[in-house]
Amino acid sequence: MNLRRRRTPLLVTALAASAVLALAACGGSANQPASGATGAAGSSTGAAASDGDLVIYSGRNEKLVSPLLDQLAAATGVTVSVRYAGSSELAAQLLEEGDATKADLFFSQDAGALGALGAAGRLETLDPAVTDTVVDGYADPADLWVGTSARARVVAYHPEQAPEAAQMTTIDAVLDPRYKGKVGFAPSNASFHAFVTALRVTKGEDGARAWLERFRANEPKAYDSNVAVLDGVDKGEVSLGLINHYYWFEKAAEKGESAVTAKIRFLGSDDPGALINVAGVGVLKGTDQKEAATKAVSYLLGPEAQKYFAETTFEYPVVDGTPAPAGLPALKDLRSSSVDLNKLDSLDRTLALLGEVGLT
Amino acid sequence: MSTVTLEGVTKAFGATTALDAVDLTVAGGHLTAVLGPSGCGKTTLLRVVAGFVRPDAGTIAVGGTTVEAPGTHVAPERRGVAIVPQEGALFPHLDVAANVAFGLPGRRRDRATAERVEEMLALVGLEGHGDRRPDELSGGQQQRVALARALAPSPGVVVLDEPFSALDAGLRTQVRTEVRGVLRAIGATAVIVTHDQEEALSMADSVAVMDRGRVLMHGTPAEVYQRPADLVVARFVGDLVELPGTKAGATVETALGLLPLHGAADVPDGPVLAALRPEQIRVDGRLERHGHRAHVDDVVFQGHDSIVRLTLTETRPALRLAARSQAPLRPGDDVAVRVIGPALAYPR
Amino acid sequence: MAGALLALLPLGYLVVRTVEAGDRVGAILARPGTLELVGRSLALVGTVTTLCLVLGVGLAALVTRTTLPGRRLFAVLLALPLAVPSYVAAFAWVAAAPWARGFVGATLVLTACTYPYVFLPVVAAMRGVDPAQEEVARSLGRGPGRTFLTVTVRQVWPAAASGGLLVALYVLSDFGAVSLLQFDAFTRVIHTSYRASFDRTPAAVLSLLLVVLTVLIALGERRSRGGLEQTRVGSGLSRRSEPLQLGRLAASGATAAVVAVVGVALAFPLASLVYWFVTGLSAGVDVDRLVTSTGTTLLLALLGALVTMAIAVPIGVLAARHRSRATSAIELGAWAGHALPGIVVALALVFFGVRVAQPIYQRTPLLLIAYAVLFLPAGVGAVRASVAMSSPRVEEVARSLGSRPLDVLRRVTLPLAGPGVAAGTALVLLTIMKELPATLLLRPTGSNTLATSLWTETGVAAYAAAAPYALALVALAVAPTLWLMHAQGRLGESIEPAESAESAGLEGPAESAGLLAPVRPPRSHTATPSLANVVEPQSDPQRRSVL
Repeated sequence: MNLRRRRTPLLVTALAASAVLALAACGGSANQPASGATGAAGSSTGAAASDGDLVIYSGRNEKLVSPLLDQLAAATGVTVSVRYAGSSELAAQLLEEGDATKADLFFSQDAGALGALGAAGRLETLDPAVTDTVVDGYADPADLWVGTSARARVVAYHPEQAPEAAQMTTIDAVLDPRYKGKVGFAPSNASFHAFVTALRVTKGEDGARAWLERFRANEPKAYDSNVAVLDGVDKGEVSLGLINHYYWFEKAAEKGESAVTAKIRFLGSDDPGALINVAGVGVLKGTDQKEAATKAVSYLLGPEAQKYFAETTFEYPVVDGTPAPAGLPALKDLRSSSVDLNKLDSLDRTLALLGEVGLT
Repeated sequence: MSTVTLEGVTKAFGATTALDAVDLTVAGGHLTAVLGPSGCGKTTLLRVVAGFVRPDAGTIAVGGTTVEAPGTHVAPERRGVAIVPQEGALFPHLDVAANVAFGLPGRRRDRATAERVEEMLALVGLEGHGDRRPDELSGGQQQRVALARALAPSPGVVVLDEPFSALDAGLRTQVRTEVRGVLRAIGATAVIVTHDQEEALSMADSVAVMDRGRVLMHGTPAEVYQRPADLVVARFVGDLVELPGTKAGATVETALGLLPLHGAADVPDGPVLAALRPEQIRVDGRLERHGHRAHVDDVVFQGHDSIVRLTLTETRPALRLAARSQAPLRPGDDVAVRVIGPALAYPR
Repeated sequence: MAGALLALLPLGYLVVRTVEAGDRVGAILARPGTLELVGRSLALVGTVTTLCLVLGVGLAALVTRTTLPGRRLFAVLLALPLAVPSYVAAFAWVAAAPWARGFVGATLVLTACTYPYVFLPVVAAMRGVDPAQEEVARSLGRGPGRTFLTVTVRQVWPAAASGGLLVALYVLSDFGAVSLLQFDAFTRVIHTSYRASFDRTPAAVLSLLLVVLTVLIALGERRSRGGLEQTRVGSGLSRRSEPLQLGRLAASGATAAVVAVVGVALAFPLASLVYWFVTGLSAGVDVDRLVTSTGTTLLLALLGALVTMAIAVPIGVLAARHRSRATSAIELGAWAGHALPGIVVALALVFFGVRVAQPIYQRTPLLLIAYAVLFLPAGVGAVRASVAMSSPRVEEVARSLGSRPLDVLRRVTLPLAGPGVAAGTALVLLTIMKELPATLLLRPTGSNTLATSLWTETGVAAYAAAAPYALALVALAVAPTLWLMHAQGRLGESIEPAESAESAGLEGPAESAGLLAPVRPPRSHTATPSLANVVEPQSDPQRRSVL
């Protein structure tokens, strides 16, 4: 009298199967509701990647460059799909993907990430005719990447608390004991790291260490971003702030120039405190969209894009002939000629140094 | 009605031997109790039969089919051995009817299933309780539902693990009687594991007494109670009055006189321990009656009778013993004591 | 089991990268900062976890065991900070309180965001606490305070400890908050390492070190609750303890404390968001993007939770019912994955995706797999706990009635584990909604979740423009948080405590009392009730709790 057995469909199998089905079904469809996510109707940048698209990995913020990339698509007739994330995360991802990457173009916030990809042999050589159009020193000497726009380090100051900063010419001036506890900086910000690298390049390792130790002894105030530093100066929490120039212009554009108390000072041309850093692009090795990628690079160096950088993101154009944003000194006058931008990829040393000094 | 046969079944958990070469045959259609103290291995025995524990050695057959042997292990669900665990273990997410229907082949709503469920609920006296949730039932009701659930698929064997231990005393006696009636009515082969000797003796057709992983004795309740195979069994199966004595042939000389022995062939003549059940000791308040003089130390009133603790006054050193009596005694009374029926003798 | 192996994927990746490093591993570990880093991270983990345990247990006691006015409402409000992503809270604090930086800020924000991980399970456990033990302690002369600390807390400790583990791992793996608050925890250094050198090796070595820490913490938690779970024997009681009457002074003090916690953890971040939202209204809200981001978040979270739980259920059942070295290792491996920064898991899946799963790379399925890897432990933990709470006897009965193991799973184990599965699903759902780093790298190109939109806006420091996404995210996360509360409540109330020694196949301690007590009243009781009138009062707690 054995118990009779029952044959019942196994729930677990069914569950697993339905999960797989659901997965398969949404492999394509889940993208759909999101495809319009960039909001701009008719934009090609929001569409899910398909084989014929030019795939751009953009380390530059979507808010800043998506209108430009829409223009690029319209002007060149190339279908573009963009993946936005942090430049360094994308660089790590590209290195991890290797030859299998779907990306054709890498649009980086800074030269360091491009330099690392170039050094790993992941970038195509660009047409020298294209790279030659940019101001000397803003493209990779081996033509693996090219700068598209530039930004300058400046000192923001509160005109009542530190009126003398209007005449400041060297970054060494912020070490003055009178600014004890009154200098704001963003220690986690990549531009600050680039500045420290420039310090190392211009002053040597020991000189840079000495500078940083004095800086630290002056008890600078750490903020989490350049925007916060500028806000701090504006409110008078600190008298000076180490930032990039365009943050002031953005604030001025948002609030009206008269509503911004803080002023900015461009330092002398050879001073590391006046470092010019670039955003740039490189074409990924093994791209199946070489022609489109080349077109895109040319577009980014063309007059429309350069004008966009000058007027919308308040950056410096890097191609001769496009005027800098109103109220800015000319790029040529600012250049810290002694700093080779490719050396900015030695960031690990910089961070190690900052760690040793205790400024992180 | 499947017969269950265990041969040389051994199981150890680490250093603990739960089953030590157990041989046991449970006759088909009988109710067999496995009786033993805590940790004697009786629950392991039950779980081995049901298939939840694999023995280290030995064979088990259920209804003539070998379900456990070296290289053979029939899964629990294919053995036809239904289990009624302690406290019932009803499925808390199912109502009573769904619990009972759990092991039935048809779907819940099939007429055959519904009829069988009602039939089983009627059998255990719970007609109309099908839509109750388990937590709406009393402990006794839960236990009866658990039994109905186990019996519903007409299993070859039902095994019950201390099924009444969670019930309070009054309810226990009554549910026990009911369960026995149900098992008798359908003639199921049943194995019930218990540490309660009264439960084992009153319910079962046969009783297997276990200690330290071994079956010490297997016999009818009367055999186990009246003629225990050894002192351990004797002590466990009921209260025991133990008297040192000297065996000579079919009698034993003790402080309570010369007592006849139950078949005493296997114990050599000489010093022995004579054993009696307390109810074999009669206590009489009237001292003029013949008997041995004793002094009442303590009386524990139990309703229908009393446990009387006595000291024999005739012996040196004084001998204490317990008896049952319905006479109205008080501590300090002097009484006469005599013995009814034969004694048991074990090597001293 | 393929699902379980999935959980080990990031570990495999880290080992590959570390082995590549060869000799450099020693050098990286020997860096002067490494030891300090370990110390700093452990200090943060220790402080936050301790605070969360104190807050979680204390608040749970206040809302379940006292006559605190408004305790039902507070119970809900106190759980809701779970819906506030830690990076959102960090934004709020950074913007408003310049002193809330570094260790102090990170401790404040992470404690405020994670104490519900302790609070929720302890509320459920408090409701299942056996009041008899407390009564015994009181009758033996211990005051209410000491009784609470020595008896009640011990009883809820397994629940508190597993919550504490979630907190500890959250703190170890959190990046957003520590980065905003400028505290150099492990994750921040791992990120910086990627950024600094674009060299994955040091990051991998540090991540592996993080895994070692995680495993140690998880083992510690297991040890701390191991003994206690074994002591719950026999039929528990569902009789509730009498709530502690709070005097007027105590009540106002307790109310003030609860209000303060709700204020810091919930009201302040929400008020900040609303303030920014209103500030940004004039600039206009990108409604299209808000709607599509919300839709995508919802869809991904639902699918991700489905996939994660589909893998978590079998692992959780195995872990609860078949403890073996293999299941322990898989469980620990899954926990390790939980403490890794999202970027590491994301890169591991990039590594795996481009090599093995190219067709689904940067498509939804791979993203869902990433969620499963990241959040499997939360699911597995919930399933394991709830399965372990139901008696294995019940499953044995089902088998003895002819059900095969998978039938038993379907008909008995899973229905009983229902509240646990629901709680796990809610937790996973909630966490996926807030996930950022893996989503950024693995999302289908061009799609946006609320978290990625929020990231985009804050990338240009547009707090006002970011506020709508943050508010939508919090609003979306409220539903699974409430669901989680509900599920945990049922978990605490309806399931009997685990049996212990029985499951080893030995006889349990339940029958040990009064055995061999030889003298029993024999034979019949005089007033034998008939079968018909033995129905006992249905509310009798002793009976209710039998099942």
